[in-house]
Amino acid sequence: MLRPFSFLSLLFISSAAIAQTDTASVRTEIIEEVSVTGGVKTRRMAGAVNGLRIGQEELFRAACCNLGESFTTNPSVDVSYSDAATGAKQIRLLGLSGTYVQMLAETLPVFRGAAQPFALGYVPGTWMKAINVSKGAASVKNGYESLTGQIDIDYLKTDDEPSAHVNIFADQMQRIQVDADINRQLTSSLSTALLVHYGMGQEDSDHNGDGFIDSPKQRQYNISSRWKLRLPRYIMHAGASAIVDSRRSGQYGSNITDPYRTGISAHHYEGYMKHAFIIDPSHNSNIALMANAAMHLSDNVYGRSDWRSYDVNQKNVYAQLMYESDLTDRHSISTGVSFSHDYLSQHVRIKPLSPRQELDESENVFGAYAQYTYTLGTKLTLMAGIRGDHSDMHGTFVTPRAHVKLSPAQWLSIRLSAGKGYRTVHALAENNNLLASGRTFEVGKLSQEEAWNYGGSLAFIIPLGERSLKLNTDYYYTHFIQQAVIDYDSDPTAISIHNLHGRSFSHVWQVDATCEVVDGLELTAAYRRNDVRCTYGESLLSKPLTNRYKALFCVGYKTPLELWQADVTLQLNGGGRLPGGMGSFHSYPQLSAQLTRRFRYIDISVGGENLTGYRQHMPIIDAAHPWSPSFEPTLIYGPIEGAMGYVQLRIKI
Amino acid sequence: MKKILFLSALMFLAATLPAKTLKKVTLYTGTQMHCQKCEKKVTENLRYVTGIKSIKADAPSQTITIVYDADKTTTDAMLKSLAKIKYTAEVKEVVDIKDEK
Repeated sequence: MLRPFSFLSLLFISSAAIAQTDTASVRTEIIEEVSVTGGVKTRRMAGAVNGLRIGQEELFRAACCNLGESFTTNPSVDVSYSDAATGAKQIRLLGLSGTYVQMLAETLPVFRGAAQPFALGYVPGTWMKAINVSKGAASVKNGYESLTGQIDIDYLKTDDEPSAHVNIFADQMQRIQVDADINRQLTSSLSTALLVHYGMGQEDSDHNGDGFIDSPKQRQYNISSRWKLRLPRYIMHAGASAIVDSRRSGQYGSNITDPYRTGISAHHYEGYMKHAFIIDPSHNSNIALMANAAMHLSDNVYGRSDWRSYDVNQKNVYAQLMYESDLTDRHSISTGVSFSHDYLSQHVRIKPLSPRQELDESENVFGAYAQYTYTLGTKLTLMAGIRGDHSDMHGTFVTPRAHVKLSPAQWLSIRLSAGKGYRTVHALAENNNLLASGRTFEVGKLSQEEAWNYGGSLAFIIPLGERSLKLNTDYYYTHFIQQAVIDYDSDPTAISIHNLHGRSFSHVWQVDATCEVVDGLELTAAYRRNDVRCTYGESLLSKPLTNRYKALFCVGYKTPLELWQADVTLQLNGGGRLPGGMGSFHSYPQLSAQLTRRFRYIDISVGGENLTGYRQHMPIIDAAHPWSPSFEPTLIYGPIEGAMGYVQLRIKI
Repeated sequence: MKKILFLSALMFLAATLPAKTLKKVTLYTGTQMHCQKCEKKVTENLRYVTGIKSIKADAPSQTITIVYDADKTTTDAMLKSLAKIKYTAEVKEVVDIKDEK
């Protein structure tokens, strides 16, 4: 097992030995220069990939404590609890699990494997400048993993206008969060930012009377230091971050002799650096190296430490060397090589009261890619890429991807995409929360996941007098060749994760429209239909716990000087199937609202979430017998907590 | 009858409201304001000055056009507010928009 010392050595070697460059850095610079001026609301990203950039203004329209709470007003992304025991939240894009969405931080892959189940809670909302969400096959530059899309977090910039903020959030569930950020230009070329976070929730209320507390007692410390050096022909980004997160949940009543409790204690450390050498600014030619390394330590207990447990010590290293250039006004290329290392040292007690098993997983992947882009003004963008990778676990595989954007008129953009993706499954690291279930837990020998994704979108800007209606519609089809299937259906007494035997696919169609009807008043309406199916046993069934549809209606009003802002969001989540012949769940509404008053040195927001008060009936099945095989806290389809009010203060120093 | 009562109440309210003297000032910033980021910075600074009704910062012409209630604020207050973000500006033009009850 690698020790922290050797891990740090590995970080140093990986980032220093591969030498001196970074492409994403340069690209990020270029993207920044285009997008920073473009306002801070949600807007469609330029380029051939179908993407949205969710800016700070959009993020602050609702309680935005962390990344997981940043999609309240976004119709494409769903966020829900994974289970009623750990407070882990999962994201869904194109109707499929968050594991198929590649998580990036400023184009570098982050929160992989064991860090993934809680990743949405690891990025405080006020640390983010924007979130870039892209649907469908992504560029081959960032690897082969994004099967359904990418979420790329843009943190607050070191070289933005110098500022300092303190954000204080408190809700009626006694959850308190304090965030602070400061950035300074130290010299004309060197700038830095420091981001800190403390969050805690210690309430042990049990509103549904099942004997289990509704939300975990949680404490998190999070710190990130970020640096940027900008010289005429050289740009460097570097930084390090640390997260300490603990969650306790389960039975906290005083009269229980042998309480069932879950405990998750995680430490996450990460470092990154990106170097970019600009060779020819007139052609955007640059050579770049980016690298990051992360260590994630987690001790997870389900029931008691001798009942079921999972401990992991995970290390990831990623490095990429790239060359990019605009050959002419119309032709540009990007090419590069990459290396990825994942190592997981795991100790797991799958069967209650049995001895712990030691399971080590390790994968090294070397890859190379080339991508060509043809741009004909604003009318046409063609992007075609191919990458080849060799994994010491799965052998050699090829990833082709292609995108087209056609804008025959200013009011119409057509995007088409097709591409393949792959993913190595770390079944226990990504799904160990399922150990909270009383069922037996089985993990088969899993192949690499492999899928094709095809999609298209139409974006219209329809003039309505002096204003315009933005209307978008998109359709995506994901077809798995190989998949790790989480199966509750074949055996009602077991959860098994096994290779796909049959078919697995998702069809997702969405339409959304946004219009500013009068000055300051913006309306958004969206509807999405999901058809996600997979073969369980011998039957092709709808994926359990997945909404058949989602409807969203947002109203936002700002006074002319934006000193007052009010936002109301209503979601209707369609019903779906419960596994193992348990029937189905019905549709349910969720209402959230927020009112903000901005003063020169402070913004004050008051709001409420889930104001319709809908709560899943019996989120824990057989909660009275937690040590029995029928105990089941992992079948969650709706909110566990009821209506919640909050106050948020954002102090500008 | 209800309509008459409502209209009477509205007229009474209008008659008792304090007078508002709306003016429009154009401030010239020079090259300090040269991009959309600058426009945003200027707007976000001036919006907290009491009495300002609307702000339009325009980097290409290097001007800020402000509609304000002259009974509540002055152009000096605006220049002082800009000084907080190290901007200097000169008053190019002040015009009365209208005197209204």
